[in-house]
Amino acid sequence: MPISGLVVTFRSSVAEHADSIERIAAIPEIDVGESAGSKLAIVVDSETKRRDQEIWDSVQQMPGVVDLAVAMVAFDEDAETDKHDAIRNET
Amino acid sequence: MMDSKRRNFLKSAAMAAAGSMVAGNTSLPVVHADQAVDDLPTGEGMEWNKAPCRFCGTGCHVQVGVEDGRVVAIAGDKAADVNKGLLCVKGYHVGGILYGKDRLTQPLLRQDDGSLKAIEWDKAIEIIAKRIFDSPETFAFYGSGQWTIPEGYAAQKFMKGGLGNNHIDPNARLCMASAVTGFLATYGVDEPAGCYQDLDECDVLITWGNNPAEMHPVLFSRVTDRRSRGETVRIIDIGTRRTRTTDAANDYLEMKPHGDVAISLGIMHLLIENDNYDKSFVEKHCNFRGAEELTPTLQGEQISEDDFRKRIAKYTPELVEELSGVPADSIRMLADLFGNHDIRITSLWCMGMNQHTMGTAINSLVHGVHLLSGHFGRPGDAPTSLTGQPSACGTVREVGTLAHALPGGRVVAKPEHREQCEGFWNVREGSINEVPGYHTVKMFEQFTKPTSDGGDITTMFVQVTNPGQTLPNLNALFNDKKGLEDKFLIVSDVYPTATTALADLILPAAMWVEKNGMFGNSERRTQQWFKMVDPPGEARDDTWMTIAIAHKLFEMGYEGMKDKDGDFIFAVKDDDGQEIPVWEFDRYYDTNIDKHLFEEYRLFTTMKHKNLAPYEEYVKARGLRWPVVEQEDGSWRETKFRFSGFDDPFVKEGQEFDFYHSSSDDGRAQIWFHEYAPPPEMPDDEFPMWLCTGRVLEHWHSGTMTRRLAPLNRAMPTAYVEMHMEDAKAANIRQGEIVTIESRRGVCDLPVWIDGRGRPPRGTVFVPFFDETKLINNVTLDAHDPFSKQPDYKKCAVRVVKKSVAKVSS
Repeated sequence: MPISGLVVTFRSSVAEHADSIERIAAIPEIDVGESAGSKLAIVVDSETKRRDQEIWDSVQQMPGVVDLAVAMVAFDEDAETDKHDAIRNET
Repeated sequence: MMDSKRRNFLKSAAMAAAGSMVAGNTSLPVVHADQAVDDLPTGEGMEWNKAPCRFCGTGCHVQVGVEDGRVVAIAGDKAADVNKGLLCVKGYHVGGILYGKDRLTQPLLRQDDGSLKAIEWDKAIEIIAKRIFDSPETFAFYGSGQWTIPEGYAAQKFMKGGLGNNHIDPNARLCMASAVTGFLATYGVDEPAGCYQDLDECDVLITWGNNPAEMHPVLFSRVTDRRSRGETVRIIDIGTRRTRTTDAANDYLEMKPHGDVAISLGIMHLLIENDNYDKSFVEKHCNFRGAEELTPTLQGEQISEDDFRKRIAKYTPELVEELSGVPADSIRMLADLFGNHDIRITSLWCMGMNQHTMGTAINSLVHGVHLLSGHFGRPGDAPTSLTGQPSACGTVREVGTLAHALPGGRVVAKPEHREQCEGFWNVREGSINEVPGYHTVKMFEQFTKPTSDGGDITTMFVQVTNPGQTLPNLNALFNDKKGLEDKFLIVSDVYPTATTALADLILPAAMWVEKNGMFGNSERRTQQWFKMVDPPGEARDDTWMTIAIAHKLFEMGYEGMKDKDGDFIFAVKDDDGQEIPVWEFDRYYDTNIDKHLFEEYRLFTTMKHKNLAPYEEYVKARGLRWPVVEQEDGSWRETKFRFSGFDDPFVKEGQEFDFYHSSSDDGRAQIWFHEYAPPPEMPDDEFPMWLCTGRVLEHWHSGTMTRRLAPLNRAMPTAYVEMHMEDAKAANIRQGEIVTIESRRGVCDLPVWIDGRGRPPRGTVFVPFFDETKLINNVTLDAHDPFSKQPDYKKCAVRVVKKSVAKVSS
């Protein structure tokens, strides 16, 4: 259940991307924080890593978003391991 | 599960961390470690410490949050000049790579029936030592740019100082060897002169076959951030397919494979033709050079400016258009930019120019474009190569873990270099072999060839890399082989891989913050971290493995493991002069072996003016860029711009530039001429398409770490083949259909992604190499650059064969 502090960078000033910010704020797991210039701070608190990744992808694809970077992430469960059957059976 | 109080606490901390990035003030100089953790959460026993990210060569610093012996949080390090508190999607997940459920936790020995049996470490070390003792000259050590600096140094000393055996090479041979030979040929010494500040100050950024938006995203964001602040930065992407970097570029110049060679020649032709090259810079600081006719060498032969003009005269924009596919007007546009001395131009490249059968040539030519135009040595004016691995520079290029090299820029072929190293190591005169060992491709050819047929490598030890997936033309090396019963492959790794599947003995390794370490990133920055958590089960440090094997050989009476005084070559003594038995793992952390090895290695670094500071200076800093020189007040000063008089302490007083390791011994850099040559294999009637291979954003190299991270693996679960819509239509291939990619060397079945993330032009397909279940390197070509010996993974001829229809989402 990751909690992450992210920095969204827009192509131009945050003020020019009201629609995207509204859509970001509408995602229930996101808290929107401070903004300055072209950057916006958000926190994502999601129930699963899958949902976290979906949110990440959604934000990255919003109009005007040119970069999404991480400032901090906290997690409290094991990394989920996908099957590598061919190799694991070998060893 | 977190309780709500802790959850709210972490959310506040996350918002504070992100908010502080937004508020600015992220441009900090090198500071002491404790200054960066002030606003990170420390309640409930969480402790934070610094480390460089485990993934690419950018060298971002993270703060690692540890609680109850486990990594529970990762934050971008605000005190780090490289990433200024930010991380990319892989850095976001870096803590999770420790906790994949299939970590290797005990040594495993393959049995006659092919199964693996757990054995004790003592037994494993004994097996290895005995094989080496019985045949030291047929042993080979294969590592990587993921070796820490002390790990690589220990391996280097063990092989060249201890065994007198030069068969040691890294996987970096496959990724940046051509950059090394390009720097050597041009400046007489390796590694970029500039630094990441060039990205903050350039007016034009040219990416040569490079996709930093996906492969070095934090660096690329330094440029896109400038644009979003209103600055003008023109990005020109020169490539063989459209990528996410293209999306951000002002200009996209699509070239044919090997077109980069013609383009660079065309720019130089026009600079001369238009008479707008930098005559003053060239006259004062450059020579012209060409390859010898009969036996070309890295040294080449000096040619006159007139001769250079004559040779380059034929590379008119029209000829370059024919050779490269880039319109003549675009070549003129590039030449006009380079001819403009009022702007600053940075060139970036990575695998596109390095994995190239003309790798040394194209590296030298792009340096030559910058030198001829004088776009060199001012902040923002730089030819800069990036690396894909976290310590390709620090461990491979500086420690010299290459078959021909010795630490600190020395080579085994030079008697004075061998003598110096024997002196530093206090080993007997003549201990170091003068004959270079096998480079990577040759090493594996010799290992996978029967001994009776001349295959003279019988035992190989692989640490921190996955050659069973990443070598070119894998089929020829590993499939359907007979007569290899006497061969023995030892693999140290953290997870099962395509290489452990081939191994006779598997050793479980500690990784990243489970051990002390030091990396050297792409901008000459040496970084240090401490062990923070224990490795799982019986997993152990790679340096310990090397020392334990060395000591077992010492106990067996192997002379090379003794120095001139009869002491163990890795002996470490305590303050009372008593030897600490660091070869026993329960005593290994009685001292800081990294510090001992680094302080010994540091002595090697002054010859090529790559001076390093004492270990403790790196403990305090977020890395320091060499040369690091002690000041009168006892502080240590790093160097951002090498060879530039305003910053480099080794430039002669009063000089604007000084290439003080010039191969012509006159303080000048070399502007090379190389004739264009076509790729070694081109599409034809039988194999009509180009194949290019590479990486994707979600996975790092062969995927052994990132494939264990479910979010990344779900985001990119399988390799695929990118194909142009018109090519697919012409072959009646549908989105998601499984096709066979076939070359003269092998086949690989893959789902088709039409006009996907990357968009190859007609006649070209692209396949990423991260997927161990779809080995595209069964198909690739092992032709390599004659100087760097680096193979060309970026171009070979294939055909796409319809197979069946399957479901794949696009």
